Amino acid sequence: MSMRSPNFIDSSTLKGIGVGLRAPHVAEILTNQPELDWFELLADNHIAEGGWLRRQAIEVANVYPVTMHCVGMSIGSIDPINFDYLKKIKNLAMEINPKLISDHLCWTSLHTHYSHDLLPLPYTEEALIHVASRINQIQDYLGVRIAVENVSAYLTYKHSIINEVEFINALAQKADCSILFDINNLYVNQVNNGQDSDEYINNIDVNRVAEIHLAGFEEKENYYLDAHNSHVHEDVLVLYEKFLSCNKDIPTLIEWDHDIPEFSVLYGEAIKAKNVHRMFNDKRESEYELADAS
Amino acid sequence: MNSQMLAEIQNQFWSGLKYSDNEIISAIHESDDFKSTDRFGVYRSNARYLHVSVLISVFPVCEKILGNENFKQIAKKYFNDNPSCSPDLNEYGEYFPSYLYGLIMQRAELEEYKYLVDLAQLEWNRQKAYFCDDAVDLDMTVFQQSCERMGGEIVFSLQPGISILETQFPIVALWEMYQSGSIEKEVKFIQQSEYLCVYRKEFQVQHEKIDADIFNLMKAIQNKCTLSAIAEIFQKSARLNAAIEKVIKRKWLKV
Repeated sequence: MSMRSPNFIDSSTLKGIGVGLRAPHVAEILTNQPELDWFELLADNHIAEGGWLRRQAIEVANVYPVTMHCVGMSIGSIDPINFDYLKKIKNLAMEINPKLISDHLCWTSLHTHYSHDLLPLPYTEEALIHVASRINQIQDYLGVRIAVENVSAYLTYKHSIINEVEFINALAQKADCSILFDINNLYVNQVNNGQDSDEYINNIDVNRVAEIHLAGFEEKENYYLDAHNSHVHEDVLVLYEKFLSCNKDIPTLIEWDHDIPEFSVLYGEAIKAKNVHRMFNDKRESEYELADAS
Repeated sequence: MNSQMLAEIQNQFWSGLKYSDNEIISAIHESDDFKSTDRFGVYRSNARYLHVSVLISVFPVCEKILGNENFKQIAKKYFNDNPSCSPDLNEYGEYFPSYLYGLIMQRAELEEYKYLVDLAQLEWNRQKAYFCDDAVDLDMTVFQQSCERMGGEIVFSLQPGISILETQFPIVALWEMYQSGSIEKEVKFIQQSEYLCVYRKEFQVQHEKIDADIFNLMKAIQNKCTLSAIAEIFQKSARLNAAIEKVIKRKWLKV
């Protein structure tokens, strides 16, 4: 695959419901080829340029559309961008031809050391300019438009002067990138930090949202942990329905990264999301038909 | 607006992950039921938990021998002293064997665990082999042409992920015992050094004992010695040809 321009990866062809690809499920997926629209690969698991994990990525990408979700770009860090890492991401992309490449609105590294955790950013003008500039550099290098995901957080900074939804909208505009809207993270942040989910859903720049994430969280004593180890919570599905009424067909992914269940359980979650997704698509289509008829 | 504020926050956050969190705590909002120290504590415990879990998965035999609690204590200290230097978490743990060595040397009561250093090195080499690039088949025609063209100045390489180890402990036997579910903690020196090669065949990581000639040849290749220099090491003995033939046959060599 040649990655000549930011528009080469056409994320608009990504449709329906996908699930996160996890190693224990790969053999079953390749054998039975379940009826799913796409898979998302945690790119960092497959960047080694050899071995079984790389082969898995290629074999799944030969059968299904795939997206690449990254955790190592450290988009918000004050460190220089790690182009060695980006090169690996680009090489993988050239092999599996993803429909979308994404990472997180956070920082993960400092002074060339990596936390491997998604650390929160202060939402300030300075951070906005800094992060937008780095996204531009990353997009220029990869030759594609990336999507940036809102992260779950257990704290907010007193320095923040912009609310998160305004920040991510402005960032997407400034860097000409897409948004990966994680509705589980939105809900976790509502509980942990008092973030207003309705306001977020009403204000997010829907035209920039290229993908939605749904996942499960874990209830701790005084906060919710974004653990990706359980079913999508009912309250998250309610927010999902609310967002889908935005009148745009947005591909949706089920994430389940820890305490990984049988594939059938993950598939069940995808079907649940698919039913909600289909309901809104049907509604949208009938509205179009009515508009055409009139 | 302070233009260095982002850098300040990141520096304070990072310092708080490892040392004192006083500075970053004052920058965090808190609520009655979720104090800023607890909020920051989520990140600190997530980082430790993640790195310790990675070390447990990379060094499972060492973890079994030391016991989960002891291993976790050592792993936490290792994390504090050796933060990850790569965005690829699969590269974390490279210095764990030498860290164990330092620890064992410092504490007399750990003397009996000296063999863990070599065992940890074996486990690390297996991890590296699992994630290495695929091997490239050695083209014998190209190989012969290169040998003819460069003569004694030719420098060979080992295929990706191949490593060698010399040990005076029965670490292969220990590793195998672990695979079968039992473990021996009292380990004695063996009379002669054992030489091991770790490699990946297709997608399967393997290790096996090799003889001293093959070990010495592979060590010289690793050290980028020319063929002439290797011949000196072997004192121009015919054993060199035999060793090269074996290494080629095992598909461990490339030019």
